[in-house]
Amino acid sequence: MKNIIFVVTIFTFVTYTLFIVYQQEKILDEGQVVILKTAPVDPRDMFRGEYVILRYEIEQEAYDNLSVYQKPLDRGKVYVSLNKDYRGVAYVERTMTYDYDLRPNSLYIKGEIKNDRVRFADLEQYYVTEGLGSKIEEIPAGKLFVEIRIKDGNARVVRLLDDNLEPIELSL
Amino acid sequence: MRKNDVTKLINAWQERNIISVEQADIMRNDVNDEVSHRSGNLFTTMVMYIGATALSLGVLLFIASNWEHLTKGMKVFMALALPISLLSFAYWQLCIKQSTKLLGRAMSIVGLAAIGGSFAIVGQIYHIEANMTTFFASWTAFATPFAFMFRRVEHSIAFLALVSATFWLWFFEVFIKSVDGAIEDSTLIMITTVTGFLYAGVMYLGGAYFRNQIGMEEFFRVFRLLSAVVVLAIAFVMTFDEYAKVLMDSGYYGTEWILPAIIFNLMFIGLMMFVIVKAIKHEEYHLAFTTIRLFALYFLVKYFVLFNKMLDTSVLFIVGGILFIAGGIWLERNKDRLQAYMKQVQESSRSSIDVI
Repeated sequence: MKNIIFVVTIFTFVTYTLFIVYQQEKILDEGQVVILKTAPVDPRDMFRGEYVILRYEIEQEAYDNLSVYQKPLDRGKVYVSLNKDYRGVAYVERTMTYDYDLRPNSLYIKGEIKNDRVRFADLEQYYVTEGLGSKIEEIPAGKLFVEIRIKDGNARVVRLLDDNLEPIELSL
Repeated sequence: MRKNDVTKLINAWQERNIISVEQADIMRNDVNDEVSHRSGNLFTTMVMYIGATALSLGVLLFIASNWEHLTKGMKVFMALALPISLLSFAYWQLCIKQSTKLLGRAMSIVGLAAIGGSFAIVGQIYHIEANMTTFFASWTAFATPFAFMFRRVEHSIAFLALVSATFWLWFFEVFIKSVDGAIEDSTLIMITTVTGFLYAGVMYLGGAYFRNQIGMEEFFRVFRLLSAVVVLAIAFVMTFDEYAKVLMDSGYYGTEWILPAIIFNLMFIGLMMFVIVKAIKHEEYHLAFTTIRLFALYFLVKYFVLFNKMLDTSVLFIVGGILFIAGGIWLERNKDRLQAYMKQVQESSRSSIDVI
């Protein structure tokens, strides 16, 4: 009996982990490519790895787009409709507290109102090789962009770009 | 009891001709063997745990320092291989070979920790922030079958730690935040306290219900002991004035909090007495002595909190010093009495078993 429980638990664990991986890969494969202007702040060095916290211009834009009645909804969910400029960099078209007004295949990200800004929790961190976090932080404000993929409002970070929108190659 | 104390006792018995010289020699040798065996065990345990932890950390750090060079597939493979290999080894040692060796036990604990490590690595691969409640709930779900299969004290502690982390994260992250602002602070405090007591109650009932489950006695004993610790900790927090003030929504000059504060303090003292009596009844002497020490800590805290503004600093320390020396002597005497009483309880239960 114990052998069966052991095998079933291991099998379920592997299946569950691979399902999470599959969900993420689906967003990366099928999602629309979007570029966002970002600024790295406060690199953290955890024993398990290193990452930089990313802040986005659209966080404030999306918050400013809310009405005075919607702004106090702390931790409230929002749907931020995006559009792209001539370079392909995204800007906020509209911020909504509901999703039924979104057009089919429209470009939008899910976020939440937190501390006077709209927070995109899944876009906030970028894990790097140990020692590279501080190098990313040295990049001047306004010169750093992020390529993301969005599918059904769920966004994932793909890579960092320079101000020519070329991938940044960092080395130690 | 320390080795020197036991040796002194043996010498005293030998001098009083209670035991012969040969018997005393055998006893002293046995004490020496036991002490060296125990210290050897402790050292081996530490070495095994440090080794298993270092091995796992090494793998995690290898992934972290080669983040850019490893492919996603390789990272996922390593994230899965680490807990599977550790837990398989532990299963083979503890469940198939029925070994009591420390290597298997150390690997099992690090294996349980590595399950959480795997989810963390997958989160890092996709640069996503894990929802802490979901993260701990998944970790607990997959660690639980292993904890019950390995069923030792350390697995019981690991299981309860994970369940507690999941439950309390959910409680504060989801439940409290959903009602925050909608209800008064005093209601929030009351809900949190009652939930804490209910949580400890469920833990105790679980431990009591499966008390006689063959092969799981030690596993469920931890449930009962930890529930007592949780209840005492909550009751201790309730004895502070600030707790009663928030609960009664008492302003700066309000006095409504005084009566509840007195009741909570009396309740805490009563609860400690109850735990001591229960602990003695169930021969949980370690818990009984820990509660007595908590009693002393309680008086120490209360003395400084109550008199700190009322007395001059020098008088505060002089009176405090005298009180605590007297309290120490009282505790020491009562400890001897308690030990004598425990022996009596044990002997009477043994004699009643003999009669049956």
